[in-house]
Amino acid sequence: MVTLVSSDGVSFNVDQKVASRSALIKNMMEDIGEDAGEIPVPNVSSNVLKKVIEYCTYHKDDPLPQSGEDEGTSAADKKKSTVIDDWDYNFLQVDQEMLFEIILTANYLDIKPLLDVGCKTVANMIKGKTPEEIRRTFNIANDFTPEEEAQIRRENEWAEDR
Amino acid sequence: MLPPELFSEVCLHLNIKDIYNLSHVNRELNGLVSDDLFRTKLLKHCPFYDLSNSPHSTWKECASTYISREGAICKEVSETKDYVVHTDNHILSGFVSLSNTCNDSILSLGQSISLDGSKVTFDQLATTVDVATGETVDQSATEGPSFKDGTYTGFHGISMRISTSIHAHMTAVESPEVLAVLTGWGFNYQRLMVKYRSSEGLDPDYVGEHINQLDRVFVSAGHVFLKSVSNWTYLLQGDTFIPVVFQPQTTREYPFLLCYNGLLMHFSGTTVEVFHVDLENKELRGGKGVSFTHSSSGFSGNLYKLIQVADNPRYAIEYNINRTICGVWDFKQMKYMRRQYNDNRKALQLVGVEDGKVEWQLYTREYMEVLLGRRLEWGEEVVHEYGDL
Repeated sequence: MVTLVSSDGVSFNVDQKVASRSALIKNMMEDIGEDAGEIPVPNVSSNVLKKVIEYCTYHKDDPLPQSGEDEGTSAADKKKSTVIDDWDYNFLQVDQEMLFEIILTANYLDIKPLLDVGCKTVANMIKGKTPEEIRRTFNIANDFTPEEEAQIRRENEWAEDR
Repeated sequence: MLPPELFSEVCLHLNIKDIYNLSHVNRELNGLVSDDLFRTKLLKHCPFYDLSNSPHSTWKECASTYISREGAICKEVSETKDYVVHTDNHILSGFVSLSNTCNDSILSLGQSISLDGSKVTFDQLATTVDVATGETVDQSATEGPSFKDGTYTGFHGISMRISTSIHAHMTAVESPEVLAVLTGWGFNYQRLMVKYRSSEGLDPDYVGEHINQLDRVFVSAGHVFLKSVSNWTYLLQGDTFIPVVFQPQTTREYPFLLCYNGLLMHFSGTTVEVFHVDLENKELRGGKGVSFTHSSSGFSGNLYKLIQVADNPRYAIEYNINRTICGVWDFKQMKYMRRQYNDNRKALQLVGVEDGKVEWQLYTREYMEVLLGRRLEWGEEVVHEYGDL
């Protein structure tokens, strides 16, 4: 058992197997030894950490991804696929802020599969949308100057005409 | 939104068009979408694309062109299926055929490539015949592709990688409208690229991936026809292959499909159907069919092989089962000239269609030459070979 402490001071008791889904924590545990005790996870609030632990618990028996060095063809191929597992899909049906927080945490804690699936989810929200639709989806303001707008319109006309 | 390093992670899952749209959302995203990102994405599609040799100054500009040309191919053609591929090299005049086997070389129309040591052969090169009209073109007036001392030099922008498991068929076409066609096939997909002469730049106008039923490609009158291994022949219009001619075939027939000046001709062995694909009046499907039958045309009925004359696609020589010449087709006049076996040694029988009516007449060779305004090369060939015409 390890104890993870969120930025707002909430403690989570987690099985070692679950915690080692995070390459960062896994390395930490290997460095410090069995009795790691409390591991602080700054920058991650309790509600996000809870979600991430939920993910790690569900996936605790998955084969571990190859060590970070192996970014070869197979990894690249996997990335291409935008198919998301059912459970993961439901797991990521959260509001955007939470989704981004989860991705950031996955990145920070080095949980590659979660980072991947999170980025895929964001990518799916962008796919096939026009710039205006993307703005609406992510609540982004259009801050282009009128000159820049005109330039973009010209570029688009050129692209659509043919 | 996400910090830049995670943004690029998301982009891994997006296609060129999505990234292009993303760059037009706001200033921040516009800054985050780098030209390098477009470069990476584009090079995945066209690995040998050379920006400095293109009309584009940035990869983004190039991406914009790419997006506008990306299109769907009709479903029937793109469905996955095992198929039999014709490795018959004899296609049409006007083609450079780089075929059969080559070992992990890069075939590229336009780049100079060395094919040393590989088993690549050119059947024919830089023809001097205009495919559309059947007339000879002054060679010096056109700058065609060439293959000298193991190096191919020609048109730019169409390239594909050939591995040991992929057969390639590169065809450069000197028709007035179509510059080049490049096809290749592996075990379960084929790729077809077309470049029109009228379009600027170096990138292909049409890229068809996963064309699984490609049998052969015809270029005629500036149009690109695709004969699938199913019963349909398609015409490339814009980014889509439109089915135009349907030819049911049976195993007992020797089907041949020839093409001249926008006419598609289907020879079944006992009948000939001529499909006029009227592109201007959008009369595509089926076109206007004219049928010859054995009894009315003098068509030999034991067609073994029909070969379009390499230097002049206007004519096709018909061989019978004994592999002797039994007649010649003139596609410009839509006439069939039958070789005589019996007493009319000085005359030729002609069958043709005029105003939708099949005609049958005897002509002398001299008359024929006057009619066509040229000497009958094929006649010479026949005389030379068999001496009894």
